[in-house]
Amino acid sequence: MLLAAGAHAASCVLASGTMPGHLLQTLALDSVEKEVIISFVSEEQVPPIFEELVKKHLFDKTNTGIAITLPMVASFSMLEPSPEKLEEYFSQQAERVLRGEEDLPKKKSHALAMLITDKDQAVYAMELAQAHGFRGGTILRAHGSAASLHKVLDMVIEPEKELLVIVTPKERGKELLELFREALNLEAANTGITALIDVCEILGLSSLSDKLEAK
Amino acid sequence: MSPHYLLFIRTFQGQSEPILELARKAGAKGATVLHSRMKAGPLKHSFLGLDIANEEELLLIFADSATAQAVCRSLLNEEVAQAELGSRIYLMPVRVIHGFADGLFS
Repeated sequence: MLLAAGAHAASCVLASGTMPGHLLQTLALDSVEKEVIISFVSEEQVPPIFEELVKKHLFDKTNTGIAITLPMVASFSMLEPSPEKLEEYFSQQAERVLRGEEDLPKKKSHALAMLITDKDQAVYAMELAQAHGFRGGTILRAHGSAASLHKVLDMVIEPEKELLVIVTPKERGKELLELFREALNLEAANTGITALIDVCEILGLSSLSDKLEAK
Repeated sequence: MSPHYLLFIRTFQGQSEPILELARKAGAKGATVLHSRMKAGPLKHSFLGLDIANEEELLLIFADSATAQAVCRSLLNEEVAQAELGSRIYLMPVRVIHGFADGLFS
């Protein structure tokens, strides 16, 4: 579907998440396997893709999936490198900084909180977030490669990492990052990174917000 | 404060290490690697009408503007292109970031 809509490429990453429900949580059956599809499309291609997701995959219903778009300010081909394009972008960007302008999208309601941390810490962070009123969360398996590598018998040991992503209302984004920072002691070296990226478009959370508005 | 970026680099299977080496030399503090299946892209193959999904690695590097520029500069050259280490670099602006031990981004 993404390719039919003109997407340049699509990648599929295995992940795990939670299924909401008090009973499932009590029985420790709330963990579910998920897949995250990452694709790169132009802004004009987003509405038809979202329409298809609603029509064919019922993304307007709860617990069917979430689709978000993140702002991509530049992309560069490594197979056909164009260093001039890179220099042009960063010189324009430097001018924007001097003028006090931002690359970030404005007036968006949600943000994506990302936490990269050691294996098994992401589950703790997700539970902590949920205890503080944040909903959902998806954990992607990864491995890290810090600047100071651990070597044993001349072999590089790459630590297993996890990437936790949570879509949150924008006004609570900083609160969530602070929560992660304090709980995981992120000031210490090689403990993790947490960041907030603005979400441009979102599909899949509407039914909840509609219900809240209706009340 | 200068802006910060998430560099999202798509590399072919097994090629993340040479790219990371170049990124580290350019000033990157580290990277996170995700393994994924490539559903489509420049190296898509098919056999007897069946699509064969290649594996690929997605590199995530958080960096400030100057480091992001330096990393991109080190990866965008003919040598890297001929070695076919990766396919594309995407830049995403980051609003808030915590967690660099040297305090640069807190």
